[in-house]
Amino acid sequence: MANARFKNILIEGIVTVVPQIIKSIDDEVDLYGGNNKQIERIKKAIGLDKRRVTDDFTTSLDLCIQATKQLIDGASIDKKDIDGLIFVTQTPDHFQPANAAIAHGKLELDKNCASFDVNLGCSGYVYGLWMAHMMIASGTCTKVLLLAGDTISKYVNARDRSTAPLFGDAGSATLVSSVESEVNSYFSLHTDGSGAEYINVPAGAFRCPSSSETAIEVQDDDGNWRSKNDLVMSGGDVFNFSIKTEPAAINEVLEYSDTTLDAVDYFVFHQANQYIIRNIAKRLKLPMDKVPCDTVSKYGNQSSASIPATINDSLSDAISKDKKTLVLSGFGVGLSWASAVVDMDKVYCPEVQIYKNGDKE
Amino acid sequence: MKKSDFLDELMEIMQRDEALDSSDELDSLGEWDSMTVLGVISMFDLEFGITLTIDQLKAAKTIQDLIDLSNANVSN
Repeated sequence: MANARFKNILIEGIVTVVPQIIKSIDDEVDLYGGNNKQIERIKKAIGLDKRRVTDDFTTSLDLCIQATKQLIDGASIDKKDIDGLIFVTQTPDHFQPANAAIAHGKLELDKNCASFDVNLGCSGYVYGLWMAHMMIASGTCTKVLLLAGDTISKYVNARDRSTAPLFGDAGSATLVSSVESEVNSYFSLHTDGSGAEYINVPAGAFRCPSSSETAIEVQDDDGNWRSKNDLVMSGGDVFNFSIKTEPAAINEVLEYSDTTLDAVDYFVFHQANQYIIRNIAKRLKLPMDKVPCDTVSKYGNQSSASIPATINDSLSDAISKDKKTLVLSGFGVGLSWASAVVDMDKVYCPEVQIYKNGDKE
Repeated sequence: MKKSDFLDELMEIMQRDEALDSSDELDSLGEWDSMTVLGVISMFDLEFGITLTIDQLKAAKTIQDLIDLSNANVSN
């Protein structure tokens, strides 16, 4: 069992930044062969509508840096106290060095700081939180900055209906701190590498370096175009995985933490799409007012940043004021999934912020 | 589940107003797309405890073929 419980560790603040550019599925009717009726079905059933995407020059790092600056100002944090930095992303600026090191330099953090990247997507935020808790529980760190951000929109082929309309970009910053007060948090982590092919980018790293050949676009049986440099997703398999795995994972972490469904104020799932979230909620018999799921229609599927974005978008008021118990659960590429039961109390949690281009250094 | 209930549920998944018949060819229906496929996967899992694969659904030609995948869980 990959389960863990922690004491006296609290999330102090969460900030999410999304890019300025808004794309709308209404403008992409050509992708659906001019079929407006199908677009209406997609909006209603899957919840796709608008999404926020970066321009060619903005990266996950830029979004996360802006989020961190606001977090440091807004939550009145002394930068010198940050002694751990985790960067969760699958869209780093470079293969080398790690995004965490670049962010550390740009933020001018203290040299007594453990910094590293984590290559995970949809499950990555919860994995990152777990690692931040471990770093504090072990006595290594007292304040860990968790950055989680992705720009998956740069990975998709514009002529691939199975990915292009889904993904949006975002960057988040979360501060996890050692505290005196009585707080408990619980984590449960899983992997099934037999599904590694279900979501993958075939070329571009070392197994299959990108070349003029990997850039050739080919049409698949469903009429979608993509090259080996583009993200490919087997939507049906991922859907099957999600609706099978997630209800069991939630029950497991609740049982482990001795928490009843009723005792949970909010369930924040990775925002794959509304159809998947509603389906999981239905299986767990969750009341939908405890399951925020508007994020995907405003911003798109934001990969590792979708859980913090949903907290900032929908729960900003609720967790800023008093103590709430949240279940967080991410699932996807890997296949990898992770769930947590955490208490949030007076968290610095502003609404989702828009990226300001001038901030880039 | 009765066949008429199965057809009703399929109409609901497809968000379709016109009636369906078990002899209807799936490719002739405008709503037979990836979203409907997900809906059918979910319905089979919830109603019959059957996990369908995408390949099984791609091989289906008519609504009757879908009914046959239910292992006699759909009756006349």
